[in-house]
Amino acid sequence: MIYFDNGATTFPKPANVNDAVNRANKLYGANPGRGGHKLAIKASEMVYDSRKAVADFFGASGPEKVIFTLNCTLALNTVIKGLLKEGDHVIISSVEHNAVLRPIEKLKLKGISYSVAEVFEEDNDKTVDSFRNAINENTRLCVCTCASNVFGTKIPFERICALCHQYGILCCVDAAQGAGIIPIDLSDSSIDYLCIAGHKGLYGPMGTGAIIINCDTIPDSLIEGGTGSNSADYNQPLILPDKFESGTNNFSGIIGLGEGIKFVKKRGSLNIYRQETQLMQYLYDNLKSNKNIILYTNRPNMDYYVPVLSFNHKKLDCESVSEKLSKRYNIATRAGLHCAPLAHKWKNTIDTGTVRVVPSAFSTRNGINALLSAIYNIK
Amino acid sequence: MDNLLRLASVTDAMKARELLGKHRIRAVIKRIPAGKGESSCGYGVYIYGNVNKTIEILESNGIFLGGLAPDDRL
Repeated sequence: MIYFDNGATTFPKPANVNDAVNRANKLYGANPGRGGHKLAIKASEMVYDSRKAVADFFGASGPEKVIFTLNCTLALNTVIKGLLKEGDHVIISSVEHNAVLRPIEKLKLKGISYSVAEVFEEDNDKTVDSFRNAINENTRLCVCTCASNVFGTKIPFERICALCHQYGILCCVDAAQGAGIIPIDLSDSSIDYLCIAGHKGLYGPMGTGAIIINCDTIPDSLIEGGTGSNSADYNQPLILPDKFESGTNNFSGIIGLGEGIKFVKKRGSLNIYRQETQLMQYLYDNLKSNKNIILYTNRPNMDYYVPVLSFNHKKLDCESVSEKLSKRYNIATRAGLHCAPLAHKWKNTIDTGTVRVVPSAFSTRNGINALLSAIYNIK
Repeated sequence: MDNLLRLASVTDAMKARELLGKHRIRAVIKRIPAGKGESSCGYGVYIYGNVNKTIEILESNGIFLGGLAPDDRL
């Protein structure tokens, strides 16, 4: 299959990731951070190495600041629900994923309000202004994605975080769609909480994600339980990462994530970003000349977009297009609303959805040609 | 002083061992024996070297015995 559903999860995974996952399960599958036997200590060391790899990659101040989660959604829920209290106000962007929107919508029941700051395509000043205008005296947190998972539009998240700090507002960035290609250095950033998916642009296995804490305000824990430490104490440990890592973690997934980061570092984030953007530009240019196709953004470039492209066919609904691409041409795309109704409202595609194409480091010009040919022939 | 230093988490123990290695102090990660320390279960580092110097190195790098800074231990 020619796979362009890399926005949901990257596939295939690099060989070193698959090998490491197999090795972890086959040779080292003890529970890390629990026992004292050799295999448990070895497993703990392997988790620690992955924790360090994530910390180093994003410039965290220490490995303990990296909290492993099962996905980016759990990371975001932990930050959002662990920080906000009755009376607080939170700002989100107009392209947020349901991983942000739904927990915040639910918190309305607890007396927490929110505002949606509009994102302006290719106009970072106006976008930052709309966040500024959304601030009120109760604003405690701002949560924004680094890029739309539907249209690829980048958000000036560093500027937004810097703005929020001027007002004493905490900032959480959802880097599900940008981690691995957009450079993020927390040692020189106003981001307080960086939430990442491990299985997308970082090429780890599914079931991996993380929160990287970059400030002194530590959220409350979302769940409590066994951590393998201070077991006689009925209270949840406060130390990081144990406070947020109750229960057995995804050992082989975490090891695979560490290897995924090695893969990205070896290829170079910017090289991957450039290569994928070139493929999206090629796709965009060719779709632009197809009179049956609707596009929703300007020509993608690295200043304003991550490599994510949405389109529609004038004569077929998005689900039918995606189904035909799969059944007839063996090409994987993702149709619908992409768990991001806000982004679709923003582009007036809430009633139609779109077909989304997302490349990976393994995508090729031949693959894009096959997609273009299939789209051309679809009826 | 006891050569087995109790740390707050296995992550702290790993971090401590790595840090001490840079100072040429050998440290081995061990589980804390039952009945030793305030609550059971946990990890520490067994030090082959000067314990007081080791504690100084650890604390100056933000790694505190049992996870508690000296002021909190009072």
